Amino acid sequence: MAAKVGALERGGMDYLVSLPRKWVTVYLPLAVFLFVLLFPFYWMAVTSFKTNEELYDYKTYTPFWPVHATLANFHKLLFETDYPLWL
Amino acid sequence: MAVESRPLAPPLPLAYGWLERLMQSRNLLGFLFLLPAAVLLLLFLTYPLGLGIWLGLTNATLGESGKFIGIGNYLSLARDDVFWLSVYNTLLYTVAASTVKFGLGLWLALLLNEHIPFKAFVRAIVLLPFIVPTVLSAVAFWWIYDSQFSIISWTLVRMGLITHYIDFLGQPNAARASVIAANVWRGVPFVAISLLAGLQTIAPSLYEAATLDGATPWQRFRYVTLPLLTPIIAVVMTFSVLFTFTDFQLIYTLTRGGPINATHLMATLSFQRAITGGRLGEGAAIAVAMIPFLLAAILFSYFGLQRRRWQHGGRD
Amino acid sequence: MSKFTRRDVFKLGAGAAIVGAAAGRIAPARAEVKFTPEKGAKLRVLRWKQFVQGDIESFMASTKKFTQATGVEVRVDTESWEDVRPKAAVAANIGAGPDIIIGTNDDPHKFPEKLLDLTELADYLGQKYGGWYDVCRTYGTRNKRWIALPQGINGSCINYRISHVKAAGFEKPPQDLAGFLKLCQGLKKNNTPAGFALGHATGDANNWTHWCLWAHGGKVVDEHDKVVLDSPETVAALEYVRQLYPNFIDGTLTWLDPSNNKAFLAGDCSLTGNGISIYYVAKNSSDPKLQEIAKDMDHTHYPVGPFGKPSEQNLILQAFVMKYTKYPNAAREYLRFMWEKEQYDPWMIASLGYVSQPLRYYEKNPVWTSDPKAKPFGEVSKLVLQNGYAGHLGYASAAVMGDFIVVDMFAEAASGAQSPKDAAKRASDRAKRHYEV
Repeated sequence: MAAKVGALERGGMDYLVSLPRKWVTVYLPLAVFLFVLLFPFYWMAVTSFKTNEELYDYKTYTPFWPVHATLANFHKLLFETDYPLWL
Repeated sequence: MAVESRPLAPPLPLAYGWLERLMQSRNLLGFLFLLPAAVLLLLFLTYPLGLGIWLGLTNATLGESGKFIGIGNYLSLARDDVFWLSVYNTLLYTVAASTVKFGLGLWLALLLNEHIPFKAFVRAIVLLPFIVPTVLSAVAFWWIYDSQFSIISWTLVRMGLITHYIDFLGQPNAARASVIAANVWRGVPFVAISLLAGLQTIAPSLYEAATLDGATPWQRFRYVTLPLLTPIIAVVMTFSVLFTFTDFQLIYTLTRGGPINATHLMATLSFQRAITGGRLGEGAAIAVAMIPFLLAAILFSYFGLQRRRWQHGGRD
Repeated sequence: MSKFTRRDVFKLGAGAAIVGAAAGRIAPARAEVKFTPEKGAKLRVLRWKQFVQGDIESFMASTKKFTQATGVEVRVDTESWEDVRPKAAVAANIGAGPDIIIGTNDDPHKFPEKLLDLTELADYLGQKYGGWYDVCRTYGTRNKRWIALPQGINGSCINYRISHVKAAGFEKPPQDLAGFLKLCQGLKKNNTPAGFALGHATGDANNWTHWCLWAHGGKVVDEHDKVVLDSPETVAALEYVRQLYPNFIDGTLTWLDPSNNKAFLAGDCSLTGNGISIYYVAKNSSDPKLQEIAKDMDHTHYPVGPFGKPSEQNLILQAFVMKYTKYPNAAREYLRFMWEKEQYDPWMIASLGYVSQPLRYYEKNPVWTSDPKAKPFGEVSKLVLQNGYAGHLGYASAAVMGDFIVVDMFAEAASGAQSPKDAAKRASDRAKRHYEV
């Protein structure tokens, strides 16, 4: 009801769309889009915090979260390469 | 004093010399205004383009400027299997990726056009794949497509859908599909946001009028949205096709031209021949060979940009 | 005038030098060749980017010593070795840029007339340090004059897992082709497969495909630079790889240079061709799994085929001096200084075995004896043939390598995309386009 009132106040034809319908036609596809578009960023972020052995071993460690989160990769990037120079 | 009606550009009295008349002429003024832009265009567009075309007609290498050999490079390329494969790859890549980008981009634009919570935030975040440097997303995809460590393969195996890890980039057709998928992922936000801007110019009253007349959502889309969106679509898809056709970074980072040249586009082949192989003239010729296709794409959209009477309710 | 005097002394010392070299020691007392740098000389050096940090540190320390000894300022820039190639070509083209370029492979042969003659220096170093390896002589000379000074060879060997090879029924990878194939089949059966790059991996893919081609007696061109790639020997090599490929790990068709490192270190690939980088990373890792791999791995040379002798392909590092330099003597003196054992020996040690020596004397360098697993890399220099074998080095050989013609040919035959005969013919046509100019 509150959604409908809000829709009425906004104007336009939104009030004609029921909430369940809106979920199926709008929210669900949008969620899938967002997941696909943003997953690689999440994956890269998680990968950058993983240690090498976690990276290669999917049997012992779940790939979705760095169990032994480490800053070693960042340390290497910032202090052992020319990266700061390029920045 | 009575105001005389004067013509817009009155001829100057003969008392003025020709120089003063020149200075006052609209044509000269127009020319002067155009000059900075023309100089910029000349320096940064025409000169490199001309040099590229010239290089394509010589046998220049990376160490010495070559001699003029006319269409020698093009004749040699015509006999080259790898070159024709790259043309085929480029056309396939462009057509497939652009079509999917258009479909998904339009759908996403329609979704974003709806009223949803955190509308502004969602619209901004959706743009991320496009604005992030291509090399970055290419490396991300390289890791995702790895034949031993792909997270996609791992998940599908865990879900029991496949038994063997997918060799994304190791088989020619799989590599083509994977590369197209990566390109689509990167390009959809651009198409979506641009089309969204176009969608927002369509007056809601048109939709309301259509609904009052009993139009279904599909009919609203077909008879209201699409016609009014056509000019925007033409512009966006032209850019999208141009960028896709000349794509270099994605292919180079992911496959360097791929399993047995299966993902070599004309741009990457041109680089391999010119810089890695040292044959500048031949690489330039390959790059110049892209121009007819690009011109065709531009002309196609030029005619699409023309306003048609039916967009404004008249008959074509 | 002074040059003449030095040459005379050379001839006198030649007899003594031969005796000394035969004994494997530095040639005994003979006039040292030294070049007097010009007054106010300044040098710009462009070299390939180091693979290990120790390399550049040792290099810069030696450079500083040179500046202190001679007063010549030296500026050293590093670029990835693939980028040095076009930069060198551009510098040669426009006649300005670095004075000394340390690049790779055929680079100096693309513009030999633009390079300073280094014959005197090369002869001196060759006589003092036991002589140049044949392949280094081929790379450094053109028409019997030295145009470049080989700095070393970025050697690669077969990297293999000892336990996995044993489980497949071999003590170590056999040195004949038939045995090697059996080994790879055994490895695949035990689910510990081998893997060699067939994608556009500039180093790894060219490295093993050229070895395979040459080992079977095939070659791209003959001594007269005529393309002979389409031959029964080539087809034999392609047939061999066609039998080898099903035993590889997945994905090799698209493997780039780091791919085999990744797979080997993850334990998925048990045999591959690579430099010492895999071993070095595993040995120095804090991860116990990688330490295990380091203990369980070793190196050996590529097998020898019907060709009759070793026929490996590796990256040659070469220093050359541009003719447009204002300080030719300073450049020569700098190179001489860096190649002398006081500087070169520590540099080899700091490079941790990434660089194999170009001169026979440096076979004794402790980097090869400090770790027995590094020893095969010290022997690589004897086993290498030049790019574009058996023809001449130049634009065509560089272009054929840069265009991955041999690699693509093997990839086509291995994957079955083309029959071996067709693959050889297509590659031959592609190569002809480069050589017929």
